[in-house]
Amino acid sequence: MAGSQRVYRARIKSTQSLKKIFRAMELIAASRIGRARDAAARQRPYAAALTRAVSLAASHVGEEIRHPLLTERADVKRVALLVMAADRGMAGAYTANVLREAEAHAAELEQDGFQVDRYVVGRRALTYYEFRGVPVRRSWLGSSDSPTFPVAKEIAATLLDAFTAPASADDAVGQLHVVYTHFRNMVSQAPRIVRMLPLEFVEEVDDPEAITVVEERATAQIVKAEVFPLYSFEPSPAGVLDALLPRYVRSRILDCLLQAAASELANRQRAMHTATENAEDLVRKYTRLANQARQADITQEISEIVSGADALAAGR
Amino acid sequence: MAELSVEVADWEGQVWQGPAGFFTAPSVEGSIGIYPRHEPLLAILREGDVKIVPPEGPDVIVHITGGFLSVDSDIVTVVADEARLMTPAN
Repeated sequence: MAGSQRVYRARIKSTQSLKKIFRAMELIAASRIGRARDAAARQRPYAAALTRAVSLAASHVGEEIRHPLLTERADVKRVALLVMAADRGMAGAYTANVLREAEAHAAELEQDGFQVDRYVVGRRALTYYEFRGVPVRRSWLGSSDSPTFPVAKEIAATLLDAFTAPASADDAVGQLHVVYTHFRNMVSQAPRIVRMLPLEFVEEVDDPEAITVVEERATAQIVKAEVFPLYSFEPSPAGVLDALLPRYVRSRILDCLLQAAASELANRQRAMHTATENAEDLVRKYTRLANQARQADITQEISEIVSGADALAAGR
Repeated sequence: MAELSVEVADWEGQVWQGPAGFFTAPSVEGSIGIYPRHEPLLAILREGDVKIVPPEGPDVIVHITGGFLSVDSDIVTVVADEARLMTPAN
């Protein structure tokens, strides 16, 4: 009987050390989340200036804007799906949610006769696809919780290449869709699908509010402003637009990455908080069981002694 | 005298901000210099050094890897892909 007591004590000990790990991870996630949100906030003026410049250039190009990044490709029936998930687990259903959304979307696209090329950010998503034998064209690992500009640059360059590749190239795509987790606030993050390419222009009056509202819509759209002062351009309005649009895409991808990172960390913090609480519950439960086992041991010992004494008394 | 208000930013945030009397940047077609009261301009920049001449004190040099520049009513905004503030040479 003393055995079960020992087992409970061992479980309490291991659960306690697990609890310490969970707690540490919760704190790490909590401290990093602030950094991720700061990064997203710091990137905002950059993105705003870029958006303004793009819409400014667009409104100076004239009525007909012809640009490969703005034109729907009819020659390629393939869609690039960029999935942003986590490198590590321990973030609750974070990766599962993103993947569910991504696969539902991929199924829809395939039903519409598109071929889906998967591009993946985050090790967890890659192992998910590898396990299921789903081909992944390219993956970026190791920076899902702290994305940097160079990573965004590389992702954007790869996908822009695929989008502008001739139809004969085997990685040419006609559209780019991004699945990431939108960071609304600390308690609410939801997977979101955005059609990033081709970019879409909408005609609206110059109103910074309008730009932000449009950015929230499901496709990446650029507001074409009507009332800007007359600007001069170097090299030319079309040339400026040429140089700005890839940057715009890059900045949007970076924004998605940063939001995904903040969401991942928020999810991890929440998951680790729950795990810590569960560990506490377990410790309490095992302590109770251990006490019970000890009590049972004592009771048994007493009854053994008493019955031994009784037997002795009866034998006299 | 009118002066420029210059801001240099990259994706990590603001790199430098302040007043300037003169400003040069590496544009795709050479180099571009801006004095106060320049006409509104949007220019694409290549990799190179942005030089800001403040009203007083040494020049400020910021190295950028490309980006763009907008000028509007004496407000100069340089949005760089990546920008690094070089310590002013003494």
